[in-house]
Amino acid sequence: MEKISISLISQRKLNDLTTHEKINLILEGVKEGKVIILEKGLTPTEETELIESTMAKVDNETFMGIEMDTYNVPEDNSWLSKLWKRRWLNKGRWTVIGPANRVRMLKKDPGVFEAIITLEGGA
Amino acid sequence: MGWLQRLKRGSFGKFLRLVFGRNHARIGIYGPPNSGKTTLANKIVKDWAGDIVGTVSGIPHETRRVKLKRDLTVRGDGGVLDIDIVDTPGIATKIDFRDFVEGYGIDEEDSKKRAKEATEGVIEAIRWLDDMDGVILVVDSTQDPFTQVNITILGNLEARKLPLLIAANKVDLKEAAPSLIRESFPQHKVVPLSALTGYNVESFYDNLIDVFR
Repeated sequence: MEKISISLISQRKLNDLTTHEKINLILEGVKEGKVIILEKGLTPTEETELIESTMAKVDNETFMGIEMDTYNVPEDNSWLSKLWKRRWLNKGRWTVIGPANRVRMLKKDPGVFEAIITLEGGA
Repeated sequence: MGWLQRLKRGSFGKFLRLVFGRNHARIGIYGPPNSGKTTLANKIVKDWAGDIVGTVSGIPHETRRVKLKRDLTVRGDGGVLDIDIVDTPGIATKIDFRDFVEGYGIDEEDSKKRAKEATEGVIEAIRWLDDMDGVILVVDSTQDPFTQVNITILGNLEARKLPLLIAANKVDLKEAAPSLIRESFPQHKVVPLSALTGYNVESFYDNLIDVFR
């Protein structure tokens, strides 16, 4: 039976990585066919670097690119929450990335986002 | 961003523009494949220089190299603006040569070559962002605008503090819904237009001068 691996990478681990290390980690995983979920999502600048690095690795044989989606957790705008978040928490932002030939993101609503993962075919 | 660009975009730049008059801006045309970037670039260049920058087709990734047209003078109700226009390849997160074979009947060898060139085009387009003074994001009004590519481009431009104008293109098509683009990106100026027919381009030029001057 064919399987798919899903990796959830914690905010704590991501905080210890440079942008370059994050992108390498993501692309290595995705090229192996994994779906990667980042607890602390990429910034738009990191996303652009990821797209650039992805394009450099597309090979017309086994790797056609990535499917990526970012989910912003709606913010609580109360002053107490803002103060608390600003001081102690990271903005809620998750990023899901998978191999383009296996993962297709569906339209998301503010509370849910869905993806279809196809098992047949290599990464 | 280099120190010279920061100076140019900052209050020192505004001071120079006040003293010396007209501004000059290098404006990049960005967006996903097939949103009409080259059609818009051609319209701008034709209107202000009687020329075109590139060929247009219905096949995605027709533009695979950055194309620059220097020294156009755009005139509108709000004044005059000197610009360079940079037409860029469509930004994508995936490029599968089989889409060209199956969708457009291009043979496998040419499709692979096209796909390879398209990946290089995406990289080139992203790298050119460092040289832009502002960006026109071209969005297809017939498609859902809330895509990851649009969000990533917008987020990147916001992080760079680059002036931005969103062209809600293809409003000549029946299924166009430019209001959805306004609702999706309320923090940015959105101008509905048809680069193909020229519908609303006067308003587009007025906004171009207003945003990038």
